Formats: sequence, C-alpha cells, structure tokens
Amino acid sequence: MDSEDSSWKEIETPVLIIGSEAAGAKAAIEAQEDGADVLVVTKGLVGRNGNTVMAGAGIQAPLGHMDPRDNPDVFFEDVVKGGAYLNNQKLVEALVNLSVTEVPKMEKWGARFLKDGDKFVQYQLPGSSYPRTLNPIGHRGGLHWRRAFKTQFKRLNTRIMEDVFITRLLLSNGQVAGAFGISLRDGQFVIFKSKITILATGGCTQLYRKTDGSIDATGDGIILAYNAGADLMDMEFHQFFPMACYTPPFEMHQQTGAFRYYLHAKFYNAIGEEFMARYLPLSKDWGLRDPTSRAIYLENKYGRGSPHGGAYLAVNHLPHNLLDEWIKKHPLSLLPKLEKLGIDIRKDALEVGPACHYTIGGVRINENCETRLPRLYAVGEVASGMDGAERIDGGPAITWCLSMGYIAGKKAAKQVRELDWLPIEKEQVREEQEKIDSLLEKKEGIRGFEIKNKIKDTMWEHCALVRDGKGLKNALNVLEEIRKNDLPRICVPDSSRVFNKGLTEALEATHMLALSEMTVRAAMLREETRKSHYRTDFPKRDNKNWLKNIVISKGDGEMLLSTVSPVMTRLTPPEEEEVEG
Amino acid sequence: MDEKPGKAKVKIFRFDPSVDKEPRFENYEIPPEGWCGIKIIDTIRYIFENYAPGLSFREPCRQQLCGACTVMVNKKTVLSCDALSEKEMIIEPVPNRRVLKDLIVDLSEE
Repeated sequence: MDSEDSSWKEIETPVLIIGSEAAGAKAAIEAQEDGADVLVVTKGLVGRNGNTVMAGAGIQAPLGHMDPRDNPDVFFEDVVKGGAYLNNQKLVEALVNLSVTEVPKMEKWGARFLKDGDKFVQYQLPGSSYPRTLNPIGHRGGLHWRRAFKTQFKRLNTRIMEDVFITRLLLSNGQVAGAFGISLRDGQFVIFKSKITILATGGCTQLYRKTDGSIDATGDGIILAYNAGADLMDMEFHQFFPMACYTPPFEMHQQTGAFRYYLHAKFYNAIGEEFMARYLPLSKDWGLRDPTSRAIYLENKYGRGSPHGGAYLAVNHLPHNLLDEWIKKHPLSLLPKLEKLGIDIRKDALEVGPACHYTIGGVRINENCETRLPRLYAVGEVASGMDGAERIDGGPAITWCLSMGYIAGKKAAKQVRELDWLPIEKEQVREEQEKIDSLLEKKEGIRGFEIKNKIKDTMWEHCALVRDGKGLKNALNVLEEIRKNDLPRICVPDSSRVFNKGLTEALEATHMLALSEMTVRAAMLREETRKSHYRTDFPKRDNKNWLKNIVISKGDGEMLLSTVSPVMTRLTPPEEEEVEG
Repeated sequence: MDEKPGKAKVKIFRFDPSVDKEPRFENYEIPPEGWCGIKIIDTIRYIFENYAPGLSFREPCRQQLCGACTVMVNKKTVLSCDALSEKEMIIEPVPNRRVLKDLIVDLSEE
C-alpha cells in the first residue's frame, strides 16, 4: 500500500532488498520462489550498475568434472587456508556446500559456459587444489550473470525500483523497520517500510586511486549498517588485482586475467627479469592476487616498473599455432582493441598492474547472513567473513553472492510470514530529510568529488599494498584533517534532487571517509603481516596474537575497535606454517 | 603531434523535464587536458567538475561493459567510455528514449 505525504512517499514491502546485482538478485529470486513479496531497489540501473556486470572470467564450484577428487571439503580447506584462518568457518561451510547446486543453476537460467559434452570445463587457478573454475563463454562473466538474473526477474515479475539512493536504515526499538532514500528520477524522498531488509550493495573499492571496479562501489551499504548499529569486520583487508590493464588504461581487466589464468602468462619487469620468483619463490607467476600485486608495486619502488607503474605480462613464449587455436576458442573483445594500439599478443607484452578489486571486510554476519541487528541481512561483497584475510583466485565472489543470496532469500521468505510491521519513527525520517536538505543549501565550499580524490590518493599512497605504522599515521592525519576541515564545508552547487550527481557524490564521499578511517585504524591495530595486509614494520604472520578478527562498531560518536576469535570449526593453523608472500 | 591541440568546442544537451519547458544546449571551450587523448566520458566529467555542477550523466563501469554511458556524439551513438573525444562535439542523449535529465534516458525495456 503506497501512501502520499507532502514531503515523502511511503512504500511498503515485506522484504526490501537494497542492491540489484548478483547477491541481491539471487536473494530476491529465492525469496520470491518461496512466496515472499519483495522489492529490489538499486542506486543505478539493473544489470548495469555495480560490479557483477564487470565480473570476469570465472565462477567456482567443486563439481569435480575435470578431477573427481574435488569436493566441497577441499574447497572449504582452500578458502580457509587462502584466508589465513580468519574466515568464519561456519559461513564458509554453508557457502561451499550450496555452490554445488547454485552455480550450475546459472546455466539453466541462461548463462553459457565452456563445456565438454555434458561436463563443465573447469580450470585450476591460484589457490585451488583442483580444477574448479567454470569458464563463461568470452570471459565476460558479467554479461552471462546479467542475462541469467534478467530472465528470472521477468519470469517472477520481480518488483524493482531503479535510481534510488538509500541514505539510512530506519530503526524501531533496535530492529530494522525499513529504509529511507531519494528517488533520483523524481527527486522524491521515499520511506521503504519493510519487515525484513537485505543489504546487497557491494564493496568500497572506490577508496583507492587505482581500481578496476565500478564507480558505484563506494561502500554505502557498509555505512548504512554501521550507522544503524551493526558490527563491521575485517575492514583492514582489501584485495588488489595484479592484472588491471594499464595500457589502454583500466579496460577489460578481466580479460587480461584470462591470459594469466588460461595461458599461464609470465610477468616481466622493465629490465626483462621474470621477477615474481624473487617475491614468491614457490608459486612464482602463479601467486595469489595480493602478493602478486605487491611484487609489481615493489618492482616499481625499485625503479624496475613499466611506464605507467605496472609490469609486463606476456604469452609470447608460446607457439603461435597454440595461441591461434586458443584465440579461436576464446574470442576476447580486448584483442581488437589491442590490435588498434599495435599490440600483438603473439609478440608483445601487455602493460598491467595492481588495482583495488574487491572489499574483503564489511558487515559482520553469521552463517545465516544475519547481522547483529534484528531483521537485517547482508549478502555478497557488503558482508565479511567469507574470505578471511584474502579471497582466493578463481571466482569465488560470484559463488558467494549466489550462496548467500540463496540463504538470505530463503530465510527471509520463511521469517517474514511470522513478523509484523514495525512502526516508522518519523523523527528519524525528518532528521535524514533535514540532513539532505541542508546539504543542498550549501552552495560554496568543497565538492564531493574533491574529497573523494583526496581520500583515494591518501589510501593509495599509505594504506594499499605496502603499509607501515608511519604511513598509516600520516593517512589518519590526512583523513582527520578532511573530517575536521573539509566535511563541514561540503557543498552541492545544484539545488535539484533529480539526478543530482553533486548530491550523491557528497553523500558517497562521507561514506568513503568513514570507510577509509576504518581501514586505516584497523590496519594500524593489526601489527602483523597477513595476506592482503602487509606491514613492513611487522613483516611476520603472528598467530599467537593475531589469529583474530577486528570488529568495528559505532560508539558514542566514535569508532570502536575490538578483536574477536574467528569462528573455527574444522581447520586450525598448523604449528609450523610455511608462509609465502 | 605537429600542432598544439588547442581548445575543443563542445555543445552539451541540458534538459530537466521537471522544471524546463524545453531542452537547450550549453557551449563550452575545453582546454586540451579536458579532451585531448581522453575518452568522451572523461570530457563529460571534466565539464561536470569544472563548469556544469548540475550536469546529469551515467558512468558506472567505464570499461565498456555496462552500456549505461551511451550517448549521441555528432549524431552518432557511442559508448562514451570507449570513444575518444574530438575537437568539436555535440553531445546529446541517445535518441528515441525518454530523457530523464540531461544525458540520462530511460533505458528500461518495453
């Protein structure tokens, strides 16, 4: 039942899903399958915003089609070892078990994969014990996922509202009663009244100057949850992808990955060395993403990088007829682009380098995808606990989205039948409305994109691949400076609420500022090196003191950091651990 | 390059159906840093950051994957994150779609 008010519109939905891509779409579809009424709201356009459409060449499931030894238990072990034992093992167990049914389901929904008869062709990527990665045709997985979800939305007649920027979760007696946002198409404020809310808003890769992710990925959902009182976890961990295309800049990164993953490309520095062995004596060119990114970063520090701060990635050591056959089988849209630039992969190398790719931390959840707040779930990249200190290669991100969407969608459908509506506390609505209106009144000062730029440069400089106490302190000083001096001056030159990019960027900048502060504070606290978190002043993994997750919650006007032991059910670190990278 | 790139002349379509009776074009002269050797989407962003803070446009992926940044430039439909800027450009929303604001059109199907 929709009701009108002079200043806001109210829309009721038993299940509200914020975010429309892999995780949100899957949650919506599963909830609808089980009879729930849902509404999906999204900041941009379905199938076009967020990182799902940009997803690359793979998705993982331990189907054992190429090697019968693979199974969910092995997948579980790979993920937990890859994450250096900081994963929530109950959650990982649920996700790997579901992957066996939910990943192949994507084919029934319209995704097309490389197959050998009725078997999926599966590849073994860094971090996997056996061939496990399914390969969507053309290495543009995102287009397949988009098609699959679209057909289901159509079949189920899913209710969707696009171009809605949610700015706050509404609480009633400590429970989530809905959300408040701006409909960007007509500029109206909207109250979404819900019995259950599922956050599926993705990560915050925009915190970094170099990123291969969507410009939408400003971590809005993480801040929505935090502001409402949910816990966050593992915010110090961000994944960097070592093969972002530096020439041409930031294009088709996932296809450059194909050269490495499916053709065993080699990395070279500017003086022709196969330098990876220097940093990764065991895995060499086959290392996980962060140590590989870090090696490229360090080569540049030592003056041996490529012109744009990266490295060379080449397959020219392979016979031409092998490459020709491969290209025939894998028609990459990147190739004609490279050709135009005079780059022939049979002879030349690509220039690639690190870019922030995936947010490992996020909203803290349990194995049911429930947050600390009653009636609030979090699924996909917005959540944490799946990956521990590092996400392994090979495409578990979309796998997690499917498994988590399944869990939350089914749970929500069941739970929603037993729940009553909660009253909307209009005071919160008025407060939020005033906050936005007062932003719109400020015409002079500093704009959202300017604050974003400062954050991105600071984070890239001090809190990316190589960290130390001094640099982190510097970063914190800059961020505190921004909070003190810039944030009060944040302005929105245009007064309209209709597609006002200045307004949305101002809101995103405030989210990014809080998220970068969290990252820096957690990185300062974690005085050790563990996978994606690398401290030159604490270069060793410290299982004695740091087999812990850092939890961040909102105190009285300040961030509270505390530590908890990871949920461990089956796997504990061995006494003597061989650690590489 | 033999000669200096100079300034680009860019005409950009503006229309907010909630307040404007009809669309208009705004004219900008863009220095080389805002157009030369960069993508059209970067020029649009340059205009937003430097001259037209109320300009509405889409730019989610910037990697030729999502298609949301499609516009019409000099009467040709292009992916603005793919095509390079030119020295004279008329930038308009894609044709045959309802304009929601400026370069943003309704892309929903049926």
